[in-house]
Amino acid sequence: MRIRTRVSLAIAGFALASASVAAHHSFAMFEMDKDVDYRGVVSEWKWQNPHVHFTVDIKPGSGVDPKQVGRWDVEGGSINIMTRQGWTRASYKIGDPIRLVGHPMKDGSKGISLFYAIRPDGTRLYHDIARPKDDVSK
Amino acid sequence: MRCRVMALAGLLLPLAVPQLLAAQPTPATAARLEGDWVRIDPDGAGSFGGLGASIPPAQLLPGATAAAGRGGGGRGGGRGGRGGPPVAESTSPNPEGVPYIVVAQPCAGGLGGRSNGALLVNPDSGGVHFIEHKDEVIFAGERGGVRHFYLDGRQHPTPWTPTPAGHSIAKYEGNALVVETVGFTAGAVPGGGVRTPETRLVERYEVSADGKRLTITYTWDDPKLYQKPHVYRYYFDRSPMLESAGTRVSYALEEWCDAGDPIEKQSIVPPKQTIK
Repeated sequence: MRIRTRVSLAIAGFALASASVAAHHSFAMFEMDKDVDYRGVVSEWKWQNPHVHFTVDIKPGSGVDPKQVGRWDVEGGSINIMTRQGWTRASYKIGDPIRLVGHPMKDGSKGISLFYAIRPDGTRLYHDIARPKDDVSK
Repeated sequence: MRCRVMALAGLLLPLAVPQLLAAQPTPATAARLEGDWVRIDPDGAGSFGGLGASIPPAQLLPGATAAAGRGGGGRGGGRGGRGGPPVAESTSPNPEGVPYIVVAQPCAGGLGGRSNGALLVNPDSGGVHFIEHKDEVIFAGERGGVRHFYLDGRQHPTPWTPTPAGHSIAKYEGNALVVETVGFTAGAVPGGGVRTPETRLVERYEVSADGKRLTITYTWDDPKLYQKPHVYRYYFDRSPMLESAGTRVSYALEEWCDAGDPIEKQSIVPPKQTIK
């Protein structure tokens, strides 16, 4: 293939695929060094760009931090980025129980920057390439 | 007769040489560099905010930051991503349903604007792509922007109008593609470094023997700015192949950067609270 054609295809491909959204915006509004465990039920599921969003309902109950009770907006990455980490549009659906680890909002509002979800079998679905120390591959 | 043959040979030689060069096999390592790569986090940064933490801080000379016309180097922060003017930080939660507007200038960058201090490598899994040819290597970032690494023996041009990606010439040293770039616009680089049009960047692109891991070593050097060269590394894995419309591709091929999309600018939307 001629290089001009290949370059054109590559540029076109990247224009179509331009979905690098984990750093689409600053994360200054989140406490990025704080990992919080949340357990609830998916109440909305938006598999969309520039960020996947879903809401999680956490109801009062034994062992539930009262501060966590409520409906939370969870922000993930772009579809490209999350797909590479193993997510699909069918990873969760409304009504599914979910356990996730995320970074809370600094201002205390009910928003979470997703770090990873923990599947029932214990495997993790990461938002993006960032990993905790207990899961690195040199 | 001999003169005519020599003259003919002289005329044909310039035409034949490129064909001969084209027939040269591409270096084995070069062949492996071609394709899609995704940055990884081998250090376990813990969050996106920590992905730059393993970069050794740049050792700058006094006045270097001012010389580069920057108030700080490369880590970013605050709202207003993608080059737009910063959005004022609020200190109280947004009312229910009111999104946090966090991107002041969606899809900003323009021509070459995305070839910024990070040089197409972002602190996330935005993919990068290489195309190799005997005369140049094309480096394209998923967010847009292209860099050209010229292999044809040319020198850096003079004069040169500085650009965000500068001007790059390259060569193979064993298994490494070594790229030298100068002529950057002044600004910041990762790890608190800075650059000016005179700053020299050398990048070494090295693919592991099994072809699965790419390491890029960046060395920023400028005796007017740095006490010693500023060196750091990024690591990549080959982009996984994905199923898309029945085809195996390395990208999901979903549109992202649409400045006309109102959600492009926003982040968290505080949900209506129905659970007490």
